[in-house]
Amino acid sequence: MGIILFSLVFSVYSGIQNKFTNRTLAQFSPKLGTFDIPSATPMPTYPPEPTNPYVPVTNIYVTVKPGSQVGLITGGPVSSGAPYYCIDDEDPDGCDDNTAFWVPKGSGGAAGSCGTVIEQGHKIVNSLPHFLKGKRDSLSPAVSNCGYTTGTYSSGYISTYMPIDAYNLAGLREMSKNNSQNVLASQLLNWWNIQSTTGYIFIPYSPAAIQNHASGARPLTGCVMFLNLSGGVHVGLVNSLELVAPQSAGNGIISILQSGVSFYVDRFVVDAWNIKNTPLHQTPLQSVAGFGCHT
Amino acid sequence: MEKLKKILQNKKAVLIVGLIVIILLFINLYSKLNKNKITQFAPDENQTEYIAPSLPPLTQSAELREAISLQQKADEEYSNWQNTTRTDFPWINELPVHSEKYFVYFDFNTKVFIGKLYPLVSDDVDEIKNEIQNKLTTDLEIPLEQYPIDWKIFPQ
Repeated sequence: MGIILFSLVFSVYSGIQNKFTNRTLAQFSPKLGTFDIPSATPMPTYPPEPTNPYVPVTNIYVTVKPGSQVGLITGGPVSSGAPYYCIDDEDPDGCDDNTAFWVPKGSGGAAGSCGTVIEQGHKIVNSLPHFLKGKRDSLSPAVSNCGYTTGTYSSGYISTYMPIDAYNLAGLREMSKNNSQNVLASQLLNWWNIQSTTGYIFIPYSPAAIQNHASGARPLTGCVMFLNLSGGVHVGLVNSLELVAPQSAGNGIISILQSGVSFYVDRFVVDAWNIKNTPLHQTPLQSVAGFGCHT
Repeated sequence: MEKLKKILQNKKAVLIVGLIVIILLFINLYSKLNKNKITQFAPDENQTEYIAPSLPPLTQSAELREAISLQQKADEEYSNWQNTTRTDFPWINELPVHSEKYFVYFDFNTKVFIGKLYPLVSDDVDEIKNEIQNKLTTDLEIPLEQYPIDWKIFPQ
């Protein structure tokens, strides 16, 4: 009797155990389709957006022609959320008086499905070091937009990373920091020349290119400015062009945003639509190679 | 053995023992199922950490490392140029000076000030030049004796 009872109990036990085990497996089997199996790559959790969001310039100065501002502006300290950069912020004395030049934060220009490139550039600048002196080659916090994140860098945020990240953040995903053709600026210059089929266009430097930007015929805001050096090429994002009266003379300042160097905003004099005071500006055509843009 | 035989012959005792065994087996079964569920559901801690697709891979190719290194050198050259110009010409951030009648900047390469004047017919050009020179020397403390001004006049 005892033996029969124990046999019965074990049979029932084994049967139940098998049934439950199979049901458990079935519940998580993607083949049976009864349960959404967790993805091997879970949904990303992005770092928080950096503070001090970019505020675009709107109707502060009379814009006679699209793509350019009239008059150079001076003023005192500005917050990082203001629509200007104070160039003295990067000097040891800081932006401590009202004679310092303000550089308007550019808006519009090259854009992808997730915003303008220059807008992303301003966000990246906010994450670069803002100490008074030193190299701007670290990035924190990471900048994220539309499923792309820059990651953080304690060092090594070279100049090409800024345009690569800004374009990707804007939704233009053709460039990558893992592609040596994009990472090295001299090769990026070549890369840009063969990308016209995907909306990328290279505009060789000429005074007419600056004039067309000022008139709004071919805006350069957010384009990558390639600067020739004796030992390579440096890049920055075209920020804004400020012209002074008489505007037809083509005098003023063009500014770029950049990483990996001592100053994240650089200004170059524009004289009769020629960009001056670049590292090798003996002849205009050797100093600025051109502009990598997106249509 | 005799006692065991007696117990086995006692139906009540067998039922009690049987029930106890059944309960124990079900407890064992329940715990096994729970354990199974935990191992099935527990996410891999490494999987919950998102790795940004934009970050360079941990194992970069030699080609990519070389590209980064070369770009760092180019950026270093540019950075040195930025620092040198600001050290050699500490007033450079104060330029250009301008009004409706002039635009003046410093040319790094030729070490010369370029003074572009846009006078009206009624304007005194020398007066405009004096105004500029005063601004450069008094306001900006630029040693003009070291750097000549190349005047270019565009009558309006």
